[in-house]
Amino acid sequence: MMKGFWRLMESVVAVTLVMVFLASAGSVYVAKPPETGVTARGQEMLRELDTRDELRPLAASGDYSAIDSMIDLPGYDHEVQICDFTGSCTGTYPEARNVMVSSYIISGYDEYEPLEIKLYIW
Amino acid sequence: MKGQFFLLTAFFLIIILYLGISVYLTPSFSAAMGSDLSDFFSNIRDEYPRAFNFGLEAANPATALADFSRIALNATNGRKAELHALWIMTMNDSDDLNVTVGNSFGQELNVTLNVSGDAKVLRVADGGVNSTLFSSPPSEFQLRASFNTTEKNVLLEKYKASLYVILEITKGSDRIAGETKA
Repeated sequence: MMKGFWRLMESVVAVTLVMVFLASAGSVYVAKPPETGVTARGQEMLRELDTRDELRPLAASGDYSAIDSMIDLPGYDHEVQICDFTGSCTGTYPEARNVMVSSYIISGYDEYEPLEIKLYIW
Repeated sequence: MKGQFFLLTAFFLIIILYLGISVYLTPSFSAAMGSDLSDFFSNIRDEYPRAFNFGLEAANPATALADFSRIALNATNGRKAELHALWIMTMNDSDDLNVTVGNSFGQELNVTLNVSGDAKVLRVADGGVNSTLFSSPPSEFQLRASFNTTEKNVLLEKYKASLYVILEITKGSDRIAGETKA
């Protein structure tokens, strides 16, 4: 009878070990894993806009919605903020969860006026 | 005996699954992080010459470069990375050459400057700027700058305001280094 009892206890410990492992490993997949490739694409898009000489004049004039309208990221929502380095920004921070950020720094457009263009993606 | 076998099998299964998942997860994450750092590095590197040109137009290039270095440093810190930057600006002062150095290397530096054989050591505080004058160098001159274990050579013109930037960004085990010239 004792033999059967210990076998049962060993089985219970084994099953518990496997269940604890599956629960902890499973939690990695329950929360959406960070899509770090998206931020690189966002950065690339901002860089492309700068290469086409479209980004700077819009950033200098604070036209964040025009910049946002030029961003093409299928399957994702996005918004743009333009910030100077005194903590002042135009545009809105999105009210969403798991928001990723790509940012691009410019030193100015027709004069030294450093700005950071932030592209929020979710 | 059957119970111990079950227990051992459970242990082996856990080890194999953990190894398999960690191998699957790790590479794509560090590759993406490397790509973000590379883009950020290119952004900062390409903006230094622009900041310099804006500064020249406003007749305060050293101020613009020092300010941009501060901005780049803060932006890098915000990404939990480290920036090390040293910029060297040359401008003629009549027939002489004024060389200005800006240091964002995180430590005070003794920068040895050699302008076509004429050598001087310039002490530059971290976050600071310092200048020195070289007498009557040739119209085209070789500038050699060395500090710590770094030594760089560049060919420049006396009557053209020039910029040379040494840049490095590190984050964990990722490191990107390079230079730019204007």
